[in-house]
Amino acid sequence: MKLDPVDAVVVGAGAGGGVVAYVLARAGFRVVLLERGREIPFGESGHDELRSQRTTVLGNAFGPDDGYYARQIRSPLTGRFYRVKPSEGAYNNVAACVGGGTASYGAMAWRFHPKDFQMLSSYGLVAGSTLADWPITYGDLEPYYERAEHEIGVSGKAGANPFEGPRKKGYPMPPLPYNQEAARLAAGARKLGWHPFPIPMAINSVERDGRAGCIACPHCVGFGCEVDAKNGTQNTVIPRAVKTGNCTLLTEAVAKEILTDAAGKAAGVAYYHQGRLQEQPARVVVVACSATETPRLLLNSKSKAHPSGLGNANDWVGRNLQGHAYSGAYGLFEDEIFDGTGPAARVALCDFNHGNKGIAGGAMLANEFIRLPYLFARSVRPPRMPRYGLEFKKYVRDNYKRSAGVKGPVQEMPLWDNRVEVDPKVTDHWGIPVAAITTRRHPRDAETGRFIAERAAEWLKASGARETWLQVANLNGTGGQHQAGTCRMGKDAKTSVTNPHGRLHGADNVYVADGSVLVTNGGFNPSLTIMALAFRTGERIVRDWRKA
Amino acid sequence: MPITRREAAAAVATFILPLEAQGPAEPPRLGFFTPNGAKLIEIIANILIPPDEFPGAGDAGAAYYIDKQMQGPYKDKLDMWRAGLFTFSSVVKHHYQGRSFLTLSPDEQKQFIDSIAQGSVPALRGIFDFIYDLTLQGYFGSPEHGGNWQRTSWKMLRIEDVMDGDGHAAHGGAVKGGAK
Ligand SMILES: Cc1cc2nc3c(=O)[nH]c(=O)nc-3n(C[C@H](O)[C@H](O)[C@H](O)COP(=O)(O)OP(=O)(O)OC[C@H]3O[C@@H](n4cnc5c(N)ncnc54)[C@H](O)[C@@H]3O)c2cc1C
Ligand code: SF4
Repeated sequence: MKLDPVDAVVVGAGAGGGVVAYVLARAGFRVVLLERGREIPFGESGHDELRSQRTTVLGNAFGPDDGYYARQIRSPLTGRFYRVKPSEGAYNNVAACVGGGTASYGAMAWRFHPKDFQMLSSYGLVAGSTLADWPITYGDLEPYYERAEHEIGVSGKAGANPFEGPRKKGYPMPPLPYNQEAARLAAGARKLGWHPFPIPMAINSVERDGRAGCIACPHCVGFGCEVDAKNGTQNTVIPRAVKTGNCTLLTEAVAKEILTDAAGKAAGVAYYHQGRLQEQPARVVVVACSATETPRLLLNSKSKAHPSGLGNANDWVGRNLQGHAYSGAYGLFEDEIFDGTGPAARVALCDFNHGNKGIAGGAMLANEFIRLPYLFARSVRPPRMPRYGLEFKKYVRDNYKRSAGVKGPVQEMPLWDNRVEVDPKVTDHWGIPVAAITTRRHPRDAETGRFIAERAAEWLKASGARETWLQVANLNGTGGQHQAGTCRMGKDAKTSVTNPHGRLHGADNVYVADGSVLVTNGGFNPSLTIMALAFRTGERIVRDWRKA
Repeated sequence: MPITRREAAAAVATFILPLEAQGPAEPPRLGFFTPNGAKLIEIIANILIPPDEFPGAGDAGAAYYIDKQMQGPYKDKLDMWRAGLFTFSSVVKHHYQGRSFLTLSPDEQKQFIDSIAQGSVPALRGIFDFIYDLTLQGYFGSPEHGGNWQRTSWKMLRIEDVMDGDGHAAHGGAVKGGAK
């Protein structure tokens, strides 16, 4: 059915989409925000480790549903595609719900380092990689970082990170205090002459906007917050957008394709809702489905004017999929440094994001989120330790509260062949071709990973760990919860998918506003950067498409 | 007097979830395993996480966890499970002159598990890893899923206070994240 036209359809109510819908609705645009998932209240997701968004062995509490979705993933062993469901690790899931990844994320709220925007000029060509500079600088994005920090709500200590780019304004809330583990690690880092500081978190350290401050529960990453102290788009910009009266949030609405007119301009979006195919005409279409689902939607939007998919005239859509080559170390301590306080991740340092000899980039290092019992038993064990039996049981029992982990989101070298395609032969519940994903990391990522893991072990030792061991990323596949890069923005239409404001080359009323547009993925968790870019893109859309 | 969050959670846990969260007084009914099938898994789970001052994984309900999940989220692994256990039984028979795993002595049972854990029978690697993972889930996960009776592992780790209540009480049933 063809619906009444609106000013803008935003597809995907995640980090980027939620922000754009808000900016447009506030400027008076009539907006329809389509989200394939639902709202997930805390009472429904709860604190169940085995179905959290981090440990999905019994399903993803924040979607998507195993019964409705699938992907084709190329096996690193056989080179052939195989079918994967959302709760399996290889799927590369983020989430499917109002808030997208931000409804259950760990809420680290990082600004990228200025050099992260200029990787090519900083390090030169890296063989085999499509490494490039962003078409914008840290300075261009700074006002939008500030806006995101204040609109979403970030707690932190301005000036505490000597490696951060210049900032005009402080954080709207003081940092969460160090827990026992963070205090110990901060002291250890200072001994080494490094520069520890409290992690900026999209978490209320104090009551704000009518929502509570964090009560330091032992869950956080992968869960909703029982007191709603964790700030995502689902409890900030999206409700504010709806409150303007200009934005309709439609859940369980699955976009099928972007419709185009004879001239190749977007005419609206076709989506499934309650078993019916609907057509929503709009002047502007914003795609914000995440770095794997956005290229899928664009590639599924074929027409005479766009025979190889929307924005894909030069075969760049879906290329350069990146994530992070997470690497780090674990350490065992004499005494119990675990004090049960969430979110546990509280201390970080940026001494190794750049300036590492022989290495392009690096990573921020932070202590880990709380490892719940199953995850601990499954993955935190020194190499000498058997994985079962009495000795193992005793190890788990004695060390659960005596261990700490430090790791970093190692910046990856983008690769042309790491890509999202669509497989017309394999479809989801609605008959829409699924994403087919091929990834393999650049060998340099493992080298950077090892370097970062060694620094992590050094940090743990200086903080009193009696035993440490490294965990270095392997080369098998990337993307995952920090997926980015598949609709690179750039000045040259031949080597990018959008212009520097997120506008699609080839269809000037289509914008991309999610992790897809990141040229490189920084040595940081990406959500604040995605939100800052979305504020910038939203503002630009208002400027370009405001009614006369 | 206002009650603390923990007290509130504990109250909820005691009143609403006495059975599921704290473990059954007697073993629940099996839906997928035969009694012997459950016995086999119990023995293996107790080899993987053996009893000491705290019950082993088998004693804490790992088989019941697996029984429940094989009828739920792991339904699509049924064929793999059946084929794996068939191979398991065949290999045991072949190695021990026609005897079944249940009739082996505890030492023989442990030796056999050790050998397959080391990968000496490649055909059993997949099923061993699967049973291993499910055993850890059943032992360390929330009791609401059928294992971790009496919150054994949480008591052992001394985290019962922070794990109690906390929304285990609050959520009911399967959650569908995607649209229908
Ligand atoms: C457990 C976890 C922990 C994390 N921790 C951190 C952290 O500490 N710090 C950090 O910075 N980042 C973290 N992240 C990553 C962060 O959540 C993502 O980087 C961010 O959400 C990506 O934003 P996005 O806008 O690209 O996509 P998303 O937030 O994934 O939003 C995309 C939305 O589009 C919807 N959608 C997709 N396709 C369609 C369609 N066809 N029709 C309708 N709707 C559709 C999806 O359902 C989803 O809601 C974490 C993620 C997870 C899952
Ligand atoms: S650690 Fe704080 S913000 Fe995170 S879920 Fe718990 S109470 Fe909420």
